[in-house]
Amino acid sequence: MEVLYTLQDKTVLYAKDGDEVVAEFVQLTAPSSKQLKHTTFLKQSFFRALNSLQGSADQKEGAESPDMKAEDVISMLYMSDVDMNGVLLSAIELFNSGVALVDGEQRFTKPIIDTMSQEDLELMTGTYLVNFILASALAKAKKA
Amino acid sequence: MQPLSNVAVTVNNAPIAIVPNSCEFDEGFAEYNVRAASTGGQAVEDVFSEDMETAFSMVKFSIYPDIEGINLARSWKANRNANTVVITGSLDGVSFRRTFKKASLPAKYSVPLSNDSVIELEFKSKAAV
Repeated sequence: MEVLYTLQDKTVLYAKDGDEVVAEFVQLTAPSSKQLKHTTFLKQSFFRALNSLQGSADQKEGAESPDMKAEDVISMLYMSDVDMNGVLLSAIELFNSGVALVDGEQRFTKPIIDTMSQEDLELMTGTYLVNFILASALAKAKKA
Repeated sequence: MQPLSNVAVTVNNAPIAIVPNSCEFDEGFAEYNVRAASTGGQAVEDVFSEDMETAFSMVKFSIYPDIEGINLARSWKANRNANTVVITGSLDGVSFRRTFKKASLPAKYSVPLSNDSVIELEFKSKAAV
């Protein structure tokens, strides 16, 4: 399974055939056990956020909804007491490990990630969480 | 004031571990020629020209001859002029970046297989941006 994340800010540059081109999208692929360290941390952060928001009925409402979007996941993480800095740094390491390809062809290396805007990084992290890491949990919520 | 000495070098999107203090580059401006044209009396006008044959950049650095370094150098040489070299750095919160497009290794380079040795690489490219 693949998901294409369209970059909001055209700030991501990468080298191609001796030139430097502006990236349009990032192709995301499912993680394997190689990425276990990062995927478990991200999944754990999400469920910790869910747990910490249980005290607030308003915020809990809609959480773990089957129609949850990338923006919702990121907002929820920010509103909770999880270490958001750690979440984003873990996401960077995950994208650097081979699950993301710039324009579907170039591995998403650290120098390329450094040119990405924070908004794109957050949304891409949310997109990855929704589609690959939380997919089974959200599918269960849909059945319930 | 402090000179910029701790830069990061990226070749074809991959960060490269270089020998410290070995990076050097040329901005790629053409060489200028200024000649005098006499207009009579004591008056002269300057005639400015650019030698566009020299309007290319050079970037060089050294890497250690470990197996990864030897293979990387070989791949860059084999890649002809389809390499991109990027130098980035920052000092006192001010960032620095130069990009060298269509970079190639025109000259032969040697790989010294000995202790305390380095591979010296010199790229030629389009003028830095």
